[in-house]
Amino acid sequence: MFDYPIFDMPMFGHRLIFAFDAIVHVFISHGAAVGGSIVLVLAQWFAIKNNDRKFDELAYKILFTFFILATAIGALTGIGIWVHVNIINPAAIGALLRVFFWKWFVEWIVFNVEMVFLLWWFLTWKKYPLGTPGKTFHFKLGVTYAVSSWFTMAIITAILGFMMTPGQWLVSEFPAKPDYLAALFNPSWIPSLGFRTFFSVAWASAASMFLAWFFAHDDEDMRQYAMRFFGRILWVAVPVFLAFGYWYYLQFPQAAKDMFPIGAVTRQLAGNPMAVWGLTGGLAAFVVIGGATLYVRPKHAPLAVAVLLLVGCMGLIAEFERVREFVRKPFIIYGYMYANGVRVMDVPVLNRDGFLKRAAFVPDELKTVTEANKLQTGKLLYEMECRYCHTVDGVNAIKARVKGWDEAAIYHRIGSLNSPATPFMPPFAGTDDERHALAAYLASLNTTPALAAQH
Amino acid sequence: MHFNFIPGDIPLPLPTGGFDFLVPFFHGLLVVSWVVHILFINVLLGASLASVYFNKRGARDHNPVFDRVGYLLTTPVTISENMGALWGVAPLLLVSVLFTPLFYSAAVMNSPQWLHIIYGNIVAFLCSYLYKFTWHKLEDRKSLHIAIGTISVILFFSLPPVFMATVQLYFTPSTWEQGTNFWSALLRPDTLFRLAHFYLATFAVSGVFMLLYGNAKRK
Ligand code: HEC
Repeated sequence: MFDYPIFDMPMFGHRLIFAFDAIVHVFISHGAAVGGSIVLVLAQWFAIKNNDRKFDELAYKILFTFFILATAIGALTGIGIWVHVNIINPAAIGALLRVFFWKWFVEWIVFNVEMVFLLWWFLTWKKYPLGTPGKTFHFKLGVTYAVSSWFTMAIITAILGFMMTPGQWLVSEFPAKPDYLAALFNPSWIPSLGFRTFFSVAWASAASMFLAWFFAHDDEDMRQYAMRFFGRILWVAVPVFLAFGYWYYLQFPQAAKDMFPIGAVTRQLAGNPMAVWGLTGGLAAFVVIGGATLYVRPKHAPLAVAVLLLVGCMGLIAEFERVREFVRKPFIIYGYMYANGVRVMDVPVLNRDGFLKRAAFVPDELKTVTEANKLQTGKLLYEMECRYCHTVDGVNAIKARVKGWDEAAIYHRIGSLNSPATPFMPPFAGTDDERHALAAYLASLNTTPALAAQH
Repeated sequence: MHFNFIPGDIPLPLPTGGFDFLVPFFHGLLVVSWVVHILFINVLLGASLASVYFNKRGARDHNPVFDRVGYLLTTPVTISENMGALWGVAPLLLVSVLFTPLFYSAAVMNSPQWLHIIYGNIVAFLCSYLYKFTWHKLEDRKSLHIAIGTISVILFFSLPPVFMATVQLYFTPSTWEQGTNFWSALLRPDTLFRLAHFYLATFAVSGVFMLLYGNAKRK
C-alpha cells in the first residue's frame, strides 16, 4: 500500500544520488573510522613500545586526516543514508525501524561513546607526548574509540544482513509479530561482519600507505618504516576478509547469486565473462601492484603507485556495494517487501482492489481509471511502482526501454516484469484497467511526449 | 477538520515488546534528547557567528584580544557541531518510529530541500574546519579567512528553516494538499514565527554560554 507522497528526481533518479552518498559513507566509515581506528591504535601502540617520536607524529597526521573525513563527511553521510531512504523508500526504512529500533538505539548510545572518545583522543594527542606517563592513558582513549566504532558497524551490519537474508523473522503476518532475535541473528550477519571488519582494516592500512607517501615524503627512512608497518597489516587482513567473504557469499539466496554478474557490471555486459572478471580482476591487480610496490620499494615508489592502490581499493569497495544492492532485487527486504515499497503479501489485494484505491496520496478523482484520466493515472502508477529504479529519460530511462513498442506490447510486457529474463523487477501490482493505463502512459512517452508531459 | 490525505501506519508493531508504558517513555526521551540537541545547535550557531564577528573586529581594530576570543570560540564550535549532529539522531530515530507516516510524508513533500540538511551541513562542517585549522596560516589573508568563516555561518543558519518546515508540516497533516512543498510549508505564519523564536533563542542561549565559557577560560 503506497502511503507516501512522491518526490521525483529527474534525469539521475534519486537512487543514483543515494548511491553516491552511501558509497562515500562506506569509504569513510570503513576506512577512516572503523579500520582507521584499529590501524592507528596499532601504530600508536608500536610507537609507544619503541618510543618512536617520528612514527607517533606520522600516526597523528594520519589521524588528523581521518578525523576531518570521519566527522565532517562520514558521520553526516551516515545520517544521509537515512534521509535519502526516507525520501526514496519510506515504507522500507519505516519497517526496518520497527524491527531494529532497539539495536539502532543502542548503536546511537555507542556512537556517543565513539564520538566523545574520538574527540578526546584526537584533541589531546599533543597534550600527552611520548614518554610521559599520561601517554598510556591517552592510548586507552584510542582503544575505546576503536572498540566502540567497531561495535556500531556490528549493529548496522546486522540490519544490512537482515535485508538480504531475513530468515524466519515474521512469526505471524497478521497481526504482524516479528521475532526480534531471529532478525538480529540472521544468517549473513556474522559472516558479513567478519568480512567488513577485515576489509575495513585492509582498506584503512592501504589508505594509510597512501597518506604516508605524502606525510613521510621528505623522510625516506620513515617512509620505508611506515610502508612496511601498514603493508604488513594489509597483507594479513586481505586473506582473512576473502575467507569471510566466501562464507558470506554462501549465505546469499540462489536467485541473488545468479545475479552477481549483472550487479558487477551491467546487464548488457554481464553475458561476457571477460567484462565481469576483467573489471574485478583489474581492480584487484591495482591493489596488488600498488600495495606490493609500496611495500617492496618504499623509497622509490612513485606517486602513481600510491594512487593505483587507492583507486583499486575504492573501485572494489564500490563494486561490492553495488553488487550487494543489485542482487537483492527485486526486494528491499528479501521476501517481504519489493524494492518499490510494495509488500509482497499485499500484491493479491492490490490486484483485486486496485493500486490507486489503496494509495493514500492519490486524489479521489484519480482512484479509478477512466478513458479520460488514463494518462494521468498511468503516470501515477509509473511513479509509485517503477520510479524507484527507472527515470523517464535519464538513468535506466523507461522511455528508451519501451521505444518502438506499441501499447499492446507494453501491456503484455507489464504482465511479466518479474520473469526469468528480468528477475530483478518486481511484478506489476494492480487491476487490469490499471495495467492498461500504465501501458498507455508509457506508450505516450514516445508517441505523444507533449501529451505525456502535460500530466 | 478536513483531511485530504491520511497515510496509513506501518503494519508492524511499535517496538515496545508489549509494554505499553514504553510509549510515553519514548515521548519523554524524544523531548529530552531534542532539548540537548537544540542546546548544542544554539551554541553552534551563536559561537560560530560570534567567532567570525570577533575575528573581523580583531582585524579591523588590530586588537589581539578580539582575535583570541574568536579563536577560542572555534573549539566549542567543533564540539557542538559534532555533538549537535549526534544528538539530532536520537530525536530523528524516535520521531521516525513514533510518527513514521506523518514524518516521512512531510520529508518527502519537502524534498529536494530536505537533502540540504546533509549536503549543506557537510559543506558547512568542512568550511568550519578549514576556518579553525587555518587560523594562524591565514593571519595575513584575513579577508579570505573571514570569508570562509562566513560561508560556514550562513550555511549553519540555513539549516533550521529546513527542519522547521518539515516539523511544522508533520504536525499539521490537515494542511496537506496536492502540491504542498517546502516553500509553502516554510512561508506559513506558524513556521515563520517558530523560526524567528528559534533564532532569537539562539542568541539568548549563546549569550549564557559565552558568559560561562569566558568565565572558565579566564581562570
Ligand atoms: C527494482 C528495480 C526496478 C523496478 C521497481 C522496475 N524496474 Fe524495470 N528494469 C529494471 C532494470 C534493472 C532493468 C534493466 C535495465 C537494463 O537493461 O540495463 C529494467 C528494464 C525494464 C524494461 C525493459 C525490459 C527488457 O526486456 O529489456 C521495461 C519495459 C521495464 N523495466 C519496465 C518497468 C515497469 C513498467 C516498471 C514498473 C511497473 C518497472 N520496470 C519497475 C529495474 C526495475
